[in-house]
Amino acid sequence: MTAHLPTTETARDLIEGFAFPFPTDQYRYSTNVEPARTPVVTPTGQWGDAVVDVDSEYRHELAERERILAADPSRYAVLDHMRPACWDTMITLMRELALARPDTMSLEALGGGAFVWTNRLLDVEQRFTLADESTLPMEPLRYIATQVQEDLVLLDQRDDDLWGDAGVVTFAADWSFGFDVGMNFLEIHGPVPRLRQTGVITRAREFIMRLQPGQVYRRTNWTLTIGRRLDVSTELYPEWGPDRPMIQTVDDETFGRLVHLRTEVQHLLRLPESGGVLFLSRTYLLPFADLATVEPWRARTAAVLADLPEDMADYKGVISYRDRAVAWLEARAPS
Amino acid sequence: MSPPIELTSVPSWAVAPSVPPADLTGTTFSVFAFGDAAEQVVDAWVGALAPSPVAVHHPSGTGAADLDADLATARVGWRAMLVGPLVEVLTLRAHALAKGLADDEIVVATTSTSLRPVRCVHCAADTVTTAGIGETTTCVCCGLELLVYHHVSRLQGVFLGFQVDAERWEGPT
Amino acid sequence: MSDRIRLVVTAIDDDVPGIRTLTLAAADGRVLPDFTPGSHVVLECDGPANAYSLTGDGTMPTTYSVSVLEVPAGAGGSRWVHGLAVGDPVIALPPRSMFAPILQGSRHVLVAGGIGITPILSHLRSAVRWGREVELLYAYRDGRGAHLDEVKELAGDRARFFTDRTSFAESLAATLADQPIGAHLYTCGPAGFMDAVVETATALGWPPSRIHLEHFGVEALDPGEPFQAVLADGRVLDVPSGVSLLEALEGAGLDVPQLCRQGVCGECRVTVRSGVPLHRDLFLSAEAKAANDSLMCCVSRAEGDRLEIDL
Ligand code: HEM
Ligand code: FES
Ligand SMILES: [Zn+2]
Repeated sequence: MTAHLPTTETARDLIEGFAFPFPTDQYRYSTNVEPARTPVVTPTGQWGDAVVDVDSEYRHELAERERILAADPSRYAVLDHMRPACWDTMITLMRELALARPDTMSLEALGGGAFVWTNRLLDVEQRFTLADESTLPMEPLRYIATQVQEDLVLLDQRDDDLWGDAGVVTFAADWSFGFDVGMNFLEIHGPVPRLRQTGVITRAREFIMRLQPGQVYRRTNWTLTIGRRLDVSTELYPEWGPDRPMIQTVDDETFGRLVHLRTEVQHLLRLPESGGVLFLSRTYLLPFADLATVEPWRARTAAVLADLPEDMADYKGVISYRDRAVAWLEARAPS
Repeated sequence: MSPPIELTSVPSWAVAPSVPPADLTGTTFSVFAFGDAAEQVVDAWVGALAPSPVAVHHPSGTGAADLDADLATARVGWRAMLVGPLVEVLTLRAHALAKGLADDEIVVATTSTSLRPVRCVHCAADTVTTAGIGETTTCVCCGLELLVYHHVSRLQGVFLGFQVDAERWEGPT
Repeated sequence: MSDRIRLVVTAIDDDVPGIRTLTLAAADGRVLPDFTPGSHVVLECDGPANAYSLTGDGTMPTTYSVSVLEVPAGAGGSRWVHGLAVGDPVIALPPRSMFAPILQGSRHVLVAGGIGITPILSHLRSAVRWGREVELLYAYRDGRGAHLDEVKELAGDRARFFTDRTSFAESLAATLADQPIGAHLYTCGPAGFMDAVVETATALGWPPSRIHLEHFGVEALDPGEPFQAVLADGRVLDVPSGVSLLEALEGAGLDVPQLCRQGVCGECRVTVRSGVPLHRDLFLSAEAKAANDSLMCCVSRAEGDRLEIDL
């Protein structure tokens, strides 16, 4: 088996900060965007007050990202014309990090385009000059990816469309960033069933194209992942694909520890100087074993999974073990 | 269960041969023609564009060098018109897009779509195959059996291929 | 709706006859929101709101500058601006960008007619900062050219100035006929002027993807006209300009489902019993809009002064 059984209990803050993705008992695709920066209170705690989120997995996930990038450089790409947008992204995210973690992070303007970035969680003090790449250890988008847990995609807006022309994506849920670079918004979403027919994705495109500097929106997306595995990219499908038949063979206790509800909290914001759009995707994983201890979450997840139409369940890759997942959750209903 | 192909990233001319009319909104034109079957299309385009000047190329390689040479002196108003079998035009279109041409400056015609270039997402090699969308082919490099997916990268000029039979579990090893 | 910005007039420049340049700073002295080159702000005045291009630098700005043409016969906006004095308060909606420089462009041809120089000036500024290749053609009536000195200083010999139509038209055609692939064209000015620029470019084979216009469209989310909403229980709610129907309903204690507040998610649909909605959302299909029996209350309003809804 390739999925690693977690040896330790799930950290408290991962349960308290989990972004539970289901507003109702039925899940269908919609243009589910809402203004960001407002906390969502949940039965265990809350999430969503910051645009970037730093939790107890911070160092671990950043190390994981470095390992993935070293093994496969195609997870990072910047088309040439996106260089100004990368600077914009870096400055924007440094400001957001400083807002989210004022105790340990700060961005100080020294005047004349010079700044100093401080991140005491990583022991970093970096001076740099805007638009001068030689003042950073690496290109700015790549650099900021060493400071945030979020995956990053930059969209260029031109020709009445949005183009995925730069990004660092190490924690993809069954898609390939390297393959998708340079596609437009509808092409990127081409593989997803229902999105075009229902108008969900054309509306999303119109919405993003009108997004203005200073506005920040967010949405959630979800799937199931076997094992605490962040990188379920299509590139590594031969590695994680066998987990899906495997999971049907394990005992109930192992099933609950291995199957995770995976939420992506995605933020969208307009970069002021370059006019680009920044798409942030932060992945949260919660084992079913923990999910089931929160009764509203257990019941709702069971209902959503049971109701999920075939095409969506197939696209999300959960079709082969969805019934077992529903049965597992239902068996844990309070008597 | 694939969505209707016209709602995906796969261009319609990559599914069945298709010949659009010449783009009369341009002012100067270069045609890049691959294979004998393209000649008829070239004649029709050149005829429709007369008396505008049309540079016709019959590249022996990918056509990238010919396109770059024309691009170096081209002025806005120029159109690149590609015609030939799918593999050749997908590849040259990708090059033209990478050079900054917009969709409304490129005309693409396919004379045949029986061969498809498929990028193995696992080892990054390209396999040219007769397998259609939803069928499988063997990666020339890593040997995995790949599903030819309904997803095309415009910048790389290839279909996405990934292992078709990854969801197999033969017990603990 | 969007958060308003409280500004004060800190300087007025009337040097060019008929054109007034306002410098505005935040009433509380803070840094103003960043903006993308080519952006405009909507200033609130007594009449319908008016959009004006920001001519200054968009990175951590301490002031916003706008230049406004006096249109004696026009709607109230321009006369209102020409009646302002230093120290007067002004309310603005946050900057909106609909005319941004194209990052992929390898060369940028800017063409301004009269007061249309205003968004072009901020393009020029950012082109100079980022070292983009740029060229400017500026046509204006003799003695009425705004920002001439600033343009000369920023652009040097990359700017050409025209006060007669014939030489402008000739230079425009010659310029547009000889641009490398990778060039983009940006134009702003009176509608007839922009039409002529687009016509020249199109005749020379320019594809739409390389031509960009500033229309000053204020678009969906302008403050709108006030109206009254009549609820199922007979209550009558005032929905003033700048307040959405959704906000008015929430203010009256109603719990309306909502998510995006932007007219895209589909949560806030409300049934209309009588009156004609003014649809401004992206969610409803054309048929649903034409039926006029529901509206998305987060952005849509009333065509007349009353709307009866099923809530
Ligand atoms: C409001 C904005 C958006 C909406 C409503 C939206 C919606 C969706 C939905 C419903 C899915 C299917 C997910 C699933 O069932 O697991 C999806 C997949 C995806 N989305 Fe988005 N999305 C939005 C923005 C974006 C942006 C800005 C990007 C950035 C490039 C993006 C990239 C993707 C990718 C790569 C996939 C996977 C497609 C594949 O299978 O290859 N999305 N999106
Ligand atoms: S709240 Fe989303 S459409 Fe009105
Ligand atoms: Zn391979």
